[in-house]
Amino acid sequence: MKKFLFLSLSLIIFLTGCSFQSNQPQLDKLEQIKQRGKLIVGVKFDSKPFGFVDENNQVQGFDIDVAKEIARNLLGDSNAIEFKQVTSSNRIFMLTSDAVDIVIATMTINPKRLEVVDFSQPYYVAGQAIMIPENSDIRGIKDLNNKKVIIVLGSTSEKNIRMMAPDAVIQGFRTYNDAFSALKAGRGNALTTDDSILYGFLDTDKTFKILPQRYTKEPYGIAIKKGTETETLRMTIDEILYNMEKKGTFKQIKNKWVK
Amino acid sequence: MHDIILNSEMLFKGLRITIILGLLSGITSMILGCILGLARYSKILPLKIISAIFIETTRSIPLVLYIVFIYLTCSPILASINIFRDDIFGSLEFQSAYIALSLFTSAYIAEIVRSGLKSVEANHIQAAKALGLNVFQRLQYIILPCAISRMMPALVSQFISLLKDTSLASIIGLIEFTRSGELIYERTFRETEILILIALVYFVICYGMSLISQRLEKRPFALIRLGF
Amino acid sequence: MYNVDFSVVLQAKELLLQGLMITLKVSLMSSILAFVLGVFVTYLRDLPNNFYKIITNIYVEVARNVPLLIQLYLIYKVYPHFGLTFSPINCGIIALSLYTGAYISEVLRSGMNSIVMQQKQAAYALGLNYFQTFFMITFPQAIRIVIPALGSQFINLIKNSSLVSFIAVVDVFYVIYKGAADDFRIYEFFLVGALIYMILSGFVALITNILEKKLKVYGREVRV
Repeated sequence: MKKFLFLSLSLIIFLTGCSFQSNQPQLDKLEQIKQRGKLIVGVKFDSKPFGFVDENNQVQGFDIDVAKEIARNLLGDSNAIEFKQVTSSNRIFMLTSDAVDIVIATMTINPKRLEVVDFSQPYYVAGQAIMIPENSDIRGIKDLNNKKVIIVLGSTSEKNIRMMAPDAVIQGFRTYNDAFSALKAGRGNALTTDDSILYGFLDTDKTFKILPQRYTKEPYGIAIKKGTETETLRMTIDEILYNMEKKGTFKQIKNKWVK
Repeated sequence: MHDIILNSEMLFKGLRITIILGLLSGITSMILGCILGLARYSKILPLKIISAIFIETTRSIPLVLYIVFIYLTCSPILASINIFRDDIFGSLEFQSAYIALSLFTSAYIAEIVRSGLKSVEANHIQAAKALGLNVFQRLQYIILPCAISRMMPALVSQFISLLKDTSLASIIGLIEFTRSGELIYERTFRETEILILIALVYFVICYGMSLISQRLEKRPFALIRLGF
Repeated sequence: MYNVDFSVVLQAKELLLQGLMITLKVSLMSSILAFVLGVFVTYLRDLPNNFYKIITNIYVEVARNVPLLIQLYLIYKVYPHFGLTFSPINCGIIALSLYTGAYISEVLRSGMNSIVMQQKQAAYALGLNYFQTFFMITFPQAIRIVIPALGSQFINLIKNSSLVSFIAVVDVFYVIYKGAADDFRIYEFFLVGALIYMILSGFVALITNILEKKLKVYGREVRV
């Protein structure tokens, strides 16, 4: 008995000690990127049409094109860029640990996240939707009560389901692919996430359909690490996004990827 | 089926990472484990206590928790150190997996080392002392040969476990063998063939190693010829 | 930069408790199944018939040399294509039982081997058949010898149960991961998770110690 208390106490001390991270003064992030010569962007590899890997093992998508435009404006070359895979669960962490410079990964701006990271202006607005097998008799979110609903951990979808269909049985997966495979295998009655991502899955498998209602507005933003060193980066990116909107680049990208 | 052939390059890359991760973690954990085991076995009280805490804590926690925790905790530190970030060996995932696997396995190896050292018969050691051998000579001629040949099967089996546990690094996104297979069936949705292939490959590698270990066990003279 | 804040964990108390229940349920059911499987396999192994030896060898070697994660994925994703669909919890229980059962059978086998041959021969001479010899003579002795090793297998089972969180079973690790992902409170949740697993393992270790002391067979130790 004493042994446990001792061990658990030492574990707590050991691990709390790890929370003291070194706070070195950081170089201005924009300068760092320019010095390095390339921009490291965290994108999804599994969310068509925003970030996915095509048959030639290249990363493509809406978010990727936005990233390339930013790289072109920041560094002069749209290929001075490195894409790292992020998932809904680890994208904030990849940002705060400096594994990536910015995150463009179907990330909804919301107050809770704003406490932890900074966002650019929204660059796309999606909505939460529900995807069901063709022959399902689910007509709306209220029908999800007592059914098995699949979501992805770390995304905003779960809170909304809990509010509007409190009796639903929620199954959470780590990646969108796990989630969609589970839906295909019949492990759940419905999958709910942003409609943009659901469209991507619909492309690969037409035996599913998406209900017409949209339950939320999900403004996507580019996530940037909080801190004084990222001020210039954030302002520059906002400027670039504004110019892209004016020049019509966003229209082009939208037409290319989203119907 | 032909998806596998088309993507075999990716699978081979993943397999390479798995084996290298296993080897690197194995060697590091062996060294760490010996140090820990000796510390646990020694008579210096603070050393004994600290190593005991570490070993008992690490052995009570699931490896997934360990890997994810080390990934989340050490990444900021690793990222600021910033050594060779360009290839996969410099990636956060690989380094975190390497640290986590080495630390985790070293706790088990420490226990194996401790029980190996304890299993050397006391009268042998006393005889050696009576013959006038000093500490280092005792270690070299009596204790270590005996202990090492007794620890060998357990050590090899621990290494096989290590190879299997590298599959858990797929949780943090390291593109080792399991994850490279996952990437393929995420795109093609043909999970059956890929998973069966992955299982077969792991089986062949691990069973092969266990067969080698059994042969070594049955022929202790082979170990003597290797210098033990 | 980072304030350790445990209130989030307290808020998630209910979910944690739910997760703990599931972990306990999965561990308990898998332990029982794994033990039964282990005994069964050990029984079959010593039968004079070669056929059983081969089958049990195949099972044990496959279950021991394929990573548990892969076995779990196989049962969850591949078996449905062949008609065997199980709920996520049952997939986890089956995978854990098959995996741990193989290890338990190995442990039991080493215990059985340390029982001297003469006892079995004496039993046969007295007219007992294989079944009776096994369950009345050799097995009870073997179990008492290998209690520590068995205990460590059950601890491994509890730790391996954390893998079921990857097929959407709400166990302790699922709750921890979700808490870290949704509320961004990594340290707090993982610390609590580690503590929970340590307590569970420690509990099993305690029981193993007590059982070992009570049932100790003096003069016999199996080097595992």
